[in-house]
Amino acid sequence: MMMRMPATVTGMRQRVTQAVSKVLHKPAAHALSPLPAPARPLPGSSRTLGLGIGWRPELAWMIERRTDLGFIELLVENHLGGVPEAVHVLHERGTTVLPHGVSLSLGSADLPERERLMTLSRLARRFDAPLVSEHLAFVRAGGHNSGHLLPLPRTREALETAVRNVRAAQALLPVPLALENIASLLAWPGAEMSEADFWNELLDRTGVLMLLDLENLYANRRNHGLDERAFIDSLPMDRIAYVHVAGGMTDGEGLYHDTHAHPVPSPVLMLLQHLCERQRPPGVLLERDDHFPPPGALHDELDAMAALLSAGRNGQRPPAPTQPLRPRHDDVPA
Amino acid sequence: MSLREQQAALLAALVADGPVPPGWDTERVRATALALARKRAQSIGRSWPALKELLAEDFEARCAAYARTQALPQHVGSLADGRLFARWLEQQGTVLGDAVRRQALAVDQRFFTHRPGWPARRWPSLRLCWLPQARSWLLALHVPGWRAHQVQVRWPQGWPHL
Repeated sequence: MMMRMPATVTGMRQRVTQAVSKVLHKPAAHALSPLPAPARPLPGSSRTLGLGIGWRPELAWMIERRTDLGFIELLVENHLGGVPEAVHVLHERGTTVLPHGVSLSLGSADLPERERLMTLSRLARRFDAPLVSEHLAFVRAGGHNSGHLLPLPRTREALETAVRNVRAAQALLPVPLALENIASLLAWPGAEMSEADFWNELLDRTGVLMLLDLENLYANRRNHGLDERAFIDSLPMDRIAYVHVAGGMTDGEGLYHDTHAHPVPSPVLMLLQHLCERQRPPGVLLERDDHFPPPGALHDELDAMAALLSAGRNGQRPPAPTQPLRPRHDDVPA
Repeated sequence: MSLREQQAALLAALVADGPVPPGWDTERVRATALALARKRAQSIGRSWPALKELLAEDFEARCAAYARTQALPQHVGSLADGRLFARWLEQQGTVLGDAVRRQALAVDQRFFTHRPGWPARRWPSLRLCWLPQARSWLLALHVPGWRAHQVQVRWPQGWPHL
């Protein structure tokens, strides 16, 4: 017993280091990861998610062939005319399907539109989803539609409005709602509170779950100097439903764009490691929307995520000063 | 300013060439406006790959010209945006390819694409559509909740074009 314990720990460390360095340093031929699925259930539920990927038609073949995926995200607005057969096949195979919306505009001054909530509800019921996810953002105001998620001012008024809108959405949805933190190039003038305080009060007052996007945190560090580790450490760990991992790029002016079209930068995986060292989340999902690489590159990224998740802690512990892996490169230049 | 007014002013600056509201970093607002325009074009390209193929390297420039005349539709997202873009291109004299016409037909048979909010059609729709590349007439029947049926008839060479 005394001899075996350290050996297991060392073996686990080695596997994590190997899988992570494969992504960070050189892409290697893909081998399906035999790592065990994590057992942590979703908050208030017995269901788990594990490793996931955002479903896109271009990835359908790769997703269908990879057998260790516990869940996929379905972009609500892309499938208003009907859900592709491939998604039904995955669902019948036991893959959890999470509807993920981008146009609810929960940060708008107006209440969320009933029709959009009904669409989310229909998909949640159709796929027996344990939750649906959306964003803490606004896309509509004054008759304009931005088409993409914009940040809220961090003011009391915006927080009260978000609380009211989230409660209204929760009242209509048949399953729990998880909200994602967004990336932005913009910062509202006149902030009255920190991002962490805004989120914590929202989580506390509405009971909403959190979809923690690590790449968006990284983008906000690059563009606004957010301390993403302090932000993660301030969150109630038992309210995190799952985590997004993705890649972006730096433009000619030094701004970081959350493109989902570039490889996952190493600092994002390090944030995942930081999170898993505190407490592993119920699920980790890779987002890739464009410039699809050969499947091997995505498999390597998924392997690295799975390794970090499996090595994470199940019980929560307070954040301790740890020695983080040093990034070898930052991200892909434009 | 109330939250509603603040958000409306920011959005006007981002998507409707409005003035940058006081207190904002002008460069960041400009960078965001550019990023939003690029994302809008990318979304249309993803929903309407045939449009992207038809316009090839002109796609982004034509899309930007269109976007200045047409606000992003509030409903149905890039599917509606692409349909409006196709209609705008036709008005500009661009001959749409067969693939775009087929997709536009399918969309028009499922939604009332001339009405705000694009309500779904609840009754069967029968349409006739000319496909210039295939020199064919396409007769399409769509019954909500049921499969679409199409018959394509080749227009004989030498017959007068309608």
